[in-house]
Amino acid sequence: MDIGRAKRGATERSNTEKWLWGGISCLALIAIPFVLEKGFSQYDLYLVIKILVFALFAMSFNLVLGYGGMMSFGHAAFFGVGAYCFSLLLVRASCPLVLAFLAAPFAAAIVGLIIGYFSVKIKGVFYFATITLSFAQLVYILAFKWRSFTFGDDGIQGIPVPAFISTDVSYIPYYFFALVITLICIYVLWKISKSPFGMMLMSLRENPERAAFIGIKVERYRLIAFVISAFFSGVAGVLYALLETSIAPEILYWSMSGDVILMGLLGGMTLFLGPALGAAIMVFLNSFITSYTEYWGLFLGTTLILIVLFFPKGLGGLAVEKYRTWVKGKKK
Amino acid sequence: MPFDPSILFVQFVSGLSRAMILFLMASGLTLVFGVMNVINFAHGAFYMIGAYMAFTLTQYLTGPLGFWVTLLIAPTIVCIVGGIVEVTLLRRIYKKEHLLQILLTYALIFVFNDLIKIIWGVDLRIVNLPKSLQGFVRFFGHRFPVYYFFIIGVGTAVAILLWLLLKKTRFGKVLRASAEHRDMVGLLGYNVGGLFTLVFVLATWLGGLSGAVIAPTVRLSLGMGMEIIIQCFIVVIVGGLGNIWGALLGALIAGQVYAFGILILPNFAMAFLFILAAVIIIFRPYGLLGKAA
Amino acid sequence: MCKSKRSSFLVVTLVLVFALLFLLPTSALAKKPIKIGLVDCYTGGAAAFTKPALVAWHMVVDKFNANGGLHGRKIELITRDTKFKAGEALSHARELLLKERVDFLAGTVSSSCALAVSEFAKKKKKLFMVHIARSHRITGAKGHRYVFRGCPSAAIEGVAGGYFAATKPYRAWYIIGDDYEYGHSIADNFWKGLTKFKTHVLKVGEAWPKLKETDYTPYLTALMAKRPDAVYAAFGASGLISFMKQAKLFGLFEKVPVFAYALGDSLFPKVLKQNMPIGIYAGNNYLWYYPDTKANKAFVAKYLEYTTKMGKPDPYPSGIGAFGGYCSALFLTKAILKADSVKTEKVIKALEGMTIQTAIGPIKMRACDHQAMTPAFWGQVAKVPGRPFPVMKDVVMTPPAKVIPTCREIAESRRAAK
Repeated sequence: MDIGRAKRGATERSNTEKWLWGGISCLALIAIPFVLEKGFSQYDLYLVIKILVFALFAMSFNLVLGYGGMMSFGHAAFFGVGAYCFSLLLVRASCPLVLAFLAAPFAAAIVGLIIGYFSVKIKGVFYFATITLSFAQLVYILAFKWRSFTFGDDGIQGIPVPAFISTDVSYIPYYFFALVITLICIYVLWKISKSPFGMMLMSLRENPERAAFIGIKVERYRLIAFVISAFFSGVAGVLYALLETSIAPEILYWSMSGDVILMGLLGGMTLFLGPALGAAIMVFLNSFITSYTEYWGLFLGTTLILIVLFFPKGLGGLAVEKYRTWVKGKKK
Repeated sequence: MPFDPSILFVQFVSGLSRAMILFLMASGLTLVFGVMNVINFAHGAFYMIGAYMAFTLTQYLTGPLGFWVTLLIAPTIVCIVGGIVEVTLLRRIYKKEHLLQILLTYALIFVFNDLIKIIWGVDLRIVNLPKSLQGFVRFFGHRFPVYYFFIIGVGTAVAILLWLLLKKTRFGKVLRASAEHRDMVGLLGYNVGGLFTLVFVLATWLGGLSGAVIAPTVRLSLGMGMEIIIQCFIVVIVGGLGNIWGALLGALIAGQVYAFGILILPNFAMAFLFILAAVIIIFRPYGLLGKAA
Repeated sequence: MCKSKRSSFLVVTLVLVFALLFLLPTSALAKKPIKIGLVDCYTGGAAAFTKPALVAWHMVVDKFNANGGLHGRKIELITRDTKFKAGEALSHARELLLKERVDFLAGTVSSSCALAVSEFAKKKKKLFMVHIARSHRITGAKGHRYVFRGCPSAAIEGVAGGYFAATKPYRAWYIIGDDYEYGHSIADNFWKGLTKFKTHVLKVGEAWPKLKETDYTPYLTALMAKRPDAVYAAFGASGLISFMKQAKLFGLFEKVPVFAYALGDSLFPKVLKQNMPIGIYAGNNYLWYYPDTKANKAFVAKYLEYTTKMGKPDPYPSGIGAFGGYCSALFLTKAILKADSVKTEKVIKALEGMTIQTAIGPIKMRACDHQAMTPAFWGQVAKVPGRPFPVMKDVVMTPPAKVIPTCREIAESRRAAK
């Protein structure tokens, strides 16, 4: 009976702990924008919103890379198509916001379907990377060259953001908008990763031959993952366009695909929230380093090399390991 | 559009020279791929160092043999840097996932870019051609610079020598075995680590050589390594990973696609290489001459 | 008791004074500086122009500060690297405006960066001075009250090229250029100018190699096969060097006259040296040797003195980099003095219609579009005795009034863009 009470006490305590942590996180999420904008500067809040946007992008991408085991080097295409589709609908067609917001990720998903259809058949990891890179570059070239429609390498400026989320006066309203959308999307991604589909995806990553042997249509699962990932990357693209109000073809370039891979690596791909941490690190590092030195390449490159050598599981993976050893130590 | 055959022939020759430029740049990359199964993004950086070293050396070695001595020295310096990189950094990540290898070598490009900025500054630079190679060849009423034939020659020589090395020498046999069965080769008593270092040094030597040889035709600027690395990557993949002849074939096709593509679709040059890559991989998922792992 | 009360009062006062001294930012005691946030690309090939431009800004700002500034307030230049990405430029513009609280923004070399920052400046009602970027849309369709450009526009330079080319007897033209906005813009404007000032010209072909192309051989062979009367090269700076080198190898310049704007910039003969093509027609927005006036000589000497002080002596200021930066900086600093204020609205008013005296004569900032009315120079490259490298002879200056789009055209393009 004593043990039972102790056990129940333990679960109750861990439940209350969960509620406590949840409550603190909620409070923090609500308080952060005010603290940052009033106490520091609007720029700092802008950086936090940027982290939200790239966290969503990186986590959508991780569905394909971390869960699906496919190293796509062309995800910038989906992010960029989301941003461009949204912006062009608003700027060229005076489309209402809600419609454009819904249409853009679907456009990204369709592009994901087309690119994915040809790519998921490719088994070799570098060949897969190359074909996704090539398709993505073709999308970039389309945006770059079709100057009469996309404004070419001049880009699109002055995307009309509706007043209730405009960042002209304050970044706080947009913060909450982006936060809600990001949390909803992350929740959906979480559900997907924990679903039978997600489990199947991971088993395909580990051993595709065995799965094929028992009759699983490997390519179909991969394609679905690809399209879902493209959809949410498109949402991130829309959020980016609303935040920046100006976009240029560079968001479709392979370096953007490289950046999102880096975010996954930095934060840790095995953790669900790892890429979000990676996004935070990249955004901060980039802003901080470039503001202080013209030799940002040297510092960024060295940092990345150190992380690869000493923290190959990403900083998120490292944090989890440390936490686990700490918990073990406590139990003793 | 009436195409007289002389134009077609000239375009063919220029496609050939372009192919050899691509192959020279890609040769080191495909060597490292083929033997060590490592993708070395930093290859672009070694190309850049080779070009900048050629610039500095030709500034000092101004005699008639200056350029030839440069071609000997520049790649040697680059391969020493390559050796240092391999021993201190690359070695630690051979057993790790591909992604980490990519990340490390990608990070190296940033580091080298800034190092070159610190050493050589931001100005644009050029390297002069040696007097002996400054003329041109005339055929069918067109002129073609001798220097590009020199590049074609160097590229061909590199292809043949690499093939001989890998297929005909014992060293090459051991290398190829190490690529597939590293531990076994180690158990047989070979110093696999040392072997890999040697291969990487050779690959960076090729990178430096390509930089030095191509330098007189282009302008040197910061970021030139980034510009070529994607082209190299695609040529190597399209040819089939680890296959020297594949890389050569891929380069030849890419060169001719450009040469004739701009006659027919002058406005789409940007897209040629990527369309080519996508089409080839769709029809040959392991590249032209590659094999499934 | 009275004594202890007085001493504790003294202690408290002293503590308060010290606390105040610590908490107050040091600059509050000195005069608050005027902050100018300069975003530009200092990475990659563009740095060859942006660095000299930055030097020129420093030159102007140092003089401003040395002359006492604005009632003792000195200008502080804060720079950020855009890495040639519009997103980075915008991000840093936000940082400079929202965090560093700069009074003015300036930059960039890239047109997409300039357009993005310009849009942001418009929203925030802060003045943005463009100093190198050439897209005609910056002061054209996308222009507005808060953006100014102290350097030329592709509209001016392209049309001026056409104006010059119209004085030559060539009819069948081939156009080749870098496949990006600037290349197409300057080529389109060139063609507009040429067809306006000369009849019966035709385009026998065009080619658009991708940006950062390493190998132009297939383009050169195709070009020469067409046998045009003349070629117009619409390249950006770094493509121009590779193209010129390879074109020389092919002997293009002996076969057909080539017109290449920007090649007249002092940067190119410095880089190309003996590869500098002789006999081709080149142009620029500034030449250190023409006009051979006292004002120009004085500017060159001042620039040399300043760059020597900085450690990298440069006897031949570049037009695209140094002169563009210089004029833009001069416009802004003079406007601050004229307005006797750093308030944006007052400085805008002072800038509109203002004329600065430069090494090549007076340059006016047109009020209707905030575009500096810059002259363009064209000539033929030759080895001139007494000059350290090939320069242009028979230089012709195209006055801006002849080629700049009219205020009405600008207004219409802005209306259409809405």
